[in-house]
Amino acid sequence: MKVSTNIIISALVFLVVFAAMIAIPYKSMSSAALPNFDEDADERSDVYNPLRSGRITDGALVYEANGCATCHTQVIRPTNAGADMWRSDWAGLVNDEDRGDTRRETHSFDYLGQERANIGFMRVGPDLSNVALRVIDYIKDTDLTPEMYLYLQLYNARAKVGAEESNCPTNPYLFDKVKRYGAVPQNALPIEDEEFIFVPNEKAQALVSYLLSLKKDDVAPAAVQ
Amino acid sequence: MSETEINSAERSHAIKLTYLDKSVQAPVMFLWMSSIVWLIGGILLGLVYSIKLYSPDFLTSSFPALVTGRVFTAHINVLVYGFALQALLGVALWVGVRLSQAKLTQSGMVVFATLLWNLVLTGGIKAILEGNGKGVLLLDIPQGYSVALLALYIVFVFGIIVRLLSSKAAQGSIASHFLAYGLIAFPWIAIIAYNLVFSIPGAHPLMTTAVAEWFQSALIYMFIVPVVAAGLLYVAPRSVQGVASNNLLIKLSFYGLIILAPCSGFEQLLGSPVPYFLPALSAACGVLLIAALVGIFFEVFGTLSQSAKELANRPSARFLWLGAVSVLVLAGLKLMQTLPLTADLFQFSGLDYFVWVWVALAVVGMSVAGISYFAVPRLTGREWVSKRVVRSHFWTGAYALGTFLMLGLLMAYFYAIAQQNWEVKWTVVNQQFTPVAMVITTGWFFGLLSTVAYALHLFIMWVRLGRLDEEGLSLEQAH
Repeated sequence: MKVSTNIIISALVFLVVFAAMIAIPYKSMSSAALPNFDEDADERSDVYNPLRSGRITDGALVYEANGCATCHTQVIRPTNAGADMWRSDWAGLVNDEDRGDTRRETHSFDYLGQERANIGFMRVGPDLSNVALRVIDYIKDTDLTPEMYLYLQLYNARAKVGAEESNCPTNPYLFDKVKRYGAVPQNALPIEDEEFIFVPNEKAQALVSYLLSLKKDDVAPAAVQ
Repeated sequence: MSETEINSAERSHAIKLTYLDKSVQAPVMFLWMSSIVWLIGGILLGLVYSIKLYSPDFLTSSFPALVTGRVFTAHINVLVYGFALQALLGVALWVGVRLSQAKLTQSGMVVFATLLWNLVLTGGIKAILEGNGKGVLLLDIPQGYSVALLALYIVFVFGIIVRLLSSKAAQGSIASHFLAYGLIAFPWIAIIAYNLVFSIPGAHPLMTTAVAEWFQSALIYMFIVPVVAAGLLYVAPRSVQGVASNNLLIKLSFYGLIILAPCSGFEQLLGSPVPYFLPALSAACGVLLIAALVGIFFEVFGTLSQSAKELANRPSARFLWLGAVSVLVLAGLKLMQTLPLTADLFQFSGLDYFVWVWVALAVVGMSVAGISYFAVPRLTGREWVSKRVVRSHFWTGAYALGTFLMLGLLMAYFYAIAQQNWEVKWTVVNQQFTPVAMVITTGWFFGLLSTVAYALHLFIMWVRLGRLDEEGLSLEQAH
């Protein structure tokens, strides 16, 4: 058989595969409507709104550009695929004051607002699907705000008490080193330095806002699960 | 034909091959030399990345921008677009002119395109290290640089593709079919993936990620493996002065590859909330694809086994053998990524990284080394200088591959098991990753030794300081 004939065959095969496995699912998922709660399946019939607050779109771009997905995942897999659901505070809270056990698997609308789902490459660090819930727990006995906790984590994770073994890299490029003069901005890091203050820049603010939006333990309709 | 006529035909054929080789000598040698320099850069980035996994502040005080995520991204892009792509383009040019029996007429343009490729890619990698990458593995290079690289790729391959499609001489060899398929597939999968991942407004984020995963698999099985196979199939019989062993097997492998390779890749999304049929169907195709890879291995292995003496003595035959085994091992790694039991277990424990290391260092690295050990003396008219250096290249390369394959997968397995133990705090589980990272450091250290040995030897050949010797380099005697 001629080379050109085989190329034509492979092109036809590719077209079929592209249509069946890429184009059609791509279009269907992109135009899928958000299902609402159903009285029979969910015992309620209101609108489901999974949108989170925060700088999700641009914060996610900072997350991607700095390769955070190399070490962190954002997917809680079904229990037949892994132990994600059972690991403490990864899938939600076991004993939430109002809702009790809020843990659930990731569903397809959990990534709305982002251009790509940051599922992740390796789990060197913990899964971040519900990192905002964990941060609230971490700051309980401190006077840190959730934002400041994450700024400190990004600036130097190992400087935090109890986190000396962390492998998270320092990210000095996310902070502006400014000469100390006059009043200190509220979001300046609480670092002892006589000469300079360290202020989160635009990218750090977007990234932290995105990380604090990562709470995916809301009640979802049975239709999306 | 009389003996005189046979000798005359052989001499005429040899002269023709010499003219063909001369027409691609400059671009092929430049491509291979560039690719090896990029490989050294990629290995150094790999070393920095692996050290940062257990010593996160390594180099940060001097180079604050070198965060783990950016270094990893740069490392993989350098391995693929700097090393693998240029090495395979060199193979495609040389094998392409020989299969089509048509000289390359624009070698100056190809040399210039290689120079531009290196400059553009340097810009792209610099952008990644500055935090301006696109953040999608192997689609990270910013748009302007990516478009330029694609345009340069077309400059490289357009002539070869036209010759392979039109030349009567090329039609009979299965290597031509593999080569044409691989060269034509790459720009299509790149354009489709880039547009679907970045350019369609309102696209579902899960599907853009799914297409990105598909692209990674397509890059391996629709471009890298076919071009490697073409090179192995062309050179293997010639390196042992034998014949191709089983045409039916390799034809079945070819058709298996072209049907199944485009379907594979979505199994990486196992457990993610994508339409369930996608990872399931993709996994089924992946399992069947393994048969195509095994077919390629048996064809090349069978061909090389025709002469045990040549296999032991000829550098090209040894590396081609290692390249063929690498394809078989790739099949095993694909199986691990595809079968539900191992796919779930290894999903986030480093297996995917080891697959990319294997594709770059073993499948491309060892195969192209074998091809170059055969081709370079014919391109330059000189013979390789030192058996010792060849042996160093081979054995340190084998140590690197053994480290990654055996120790690396073993440590990844222990890490995967640790991840499943959900009652143990993550900070304790994470400590099990340190052995994985240390194995990566060790593997790249051996890889660096192997590559530097080969780079020096190739450079000596490039500047025409090789031996003037009609007999090829033989490894059978001590130096």
